[in-house]
Amino acid sequence: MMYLPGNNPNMLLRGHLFRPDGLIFDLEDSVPANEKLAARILVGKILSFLDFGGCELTIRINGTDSDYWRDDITAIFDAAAANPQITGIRVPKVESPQEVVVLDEMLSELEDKSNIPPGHIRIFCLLESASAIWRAFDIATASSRVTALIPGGEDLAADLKTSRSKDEIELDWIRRMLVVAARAAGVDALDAAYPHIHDLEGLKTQTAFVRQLGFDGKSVLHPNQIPIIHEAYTPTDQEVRKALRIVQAAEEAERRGQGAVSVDGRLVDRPVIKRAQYLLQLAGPMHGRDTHDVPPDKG
Amino acid sequence: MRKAIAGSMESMDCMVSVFERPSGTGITLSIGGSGSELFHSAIVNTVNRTLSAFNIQDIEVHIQDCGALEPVLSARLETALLRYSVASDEREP
Repeated sequence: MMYLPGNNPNMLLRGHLFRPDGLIFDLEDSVPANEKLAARILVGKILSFLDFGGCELTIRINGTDSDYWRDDITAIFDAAAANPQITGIRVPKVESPQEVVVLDEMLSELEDKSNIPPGHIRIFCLLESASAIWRAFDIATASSRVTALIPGGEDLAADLKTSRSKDEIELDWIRRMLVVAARAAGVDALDAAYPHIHDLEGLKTQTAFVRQLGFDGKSVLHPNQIPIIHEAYTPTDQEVRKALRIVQAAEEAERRGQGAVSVDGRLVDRPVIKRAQYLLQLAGPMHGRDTHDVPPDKG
Repeated sequence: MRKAIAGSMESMDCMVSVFERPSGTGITLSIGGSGSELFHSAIVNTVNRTLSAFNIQDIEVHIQDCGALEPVLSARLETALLRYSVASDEREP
């Protein structure tokens, strides 16, 4: 999902042309205090008027410790009533489950008033302090609207009393903890953006690492970063073919009432089947195709 | 004289300036920039619709267009008018 500065019409209008999976209309860090009102109105108008193809649309509001967040949410609802592609808010600096409960209540009230289906607007929580990471599971389970946990970068490094290094070793355990909390809570784990926008090799290395840790995706700051992340998260045809064989064998075994499944001469158990199902789920939207269209294995 | 501005001269944006006019003198509009001729009537329609929504009868509006689409123009004018209304409130004792 790509961040777009909320007061820049050029980027807001053209961002989807770079084909990210989602767009994040930012009202927070990229917008100076004297332009908050202008950005809120601009984002609201653009979201109400335009179609963004298949992109998932979310808005990063200002934190609940600011004077802006209530107005941000109100503006979003005016747009969300006109555009069902708006599916969530990214909330920065979430510190406690209580904050999520307050947000949930406000969203429920506004959904009711705006004739938006209950629970339609989801919450993506940005955790940007050590205490927030420590409470990640409680935050994720504070409301059924919580869809994803996302670690912070700069703020977290500062809170850890260190600085953000190139390889982000200081965030290593933060990422591991966040994935565990997200999985335990049944929500997605989305990684922070890679700030060195011209270092595509570094991005490739980091994306491979966070995918291996279990992250479901990664935020993007620049269009150049999109293909690198898509490639890292796109399963190969070989992986898709193998996953298809596993899932088909598991379905066949279930029909026959058999417990054990064998694929390519190896016994396959439930976690492997689950992983294969997840890989096929990932392959569908990434490839923009039906996984049944995978070319046949030549071997 | 009260005034307010919104927008920028970046591509796909526009700069909107609004100025106070005495009561009963009506609306004046000047349009310049890249889309001023080709999209003149569309810009006028957007301005009139927005001013009407704000129930404003007397104001001077300057628009310098840099290729702004309708929602962008509408957003910039709305922002300028909201800033103008706050400036107006601040003048009251």
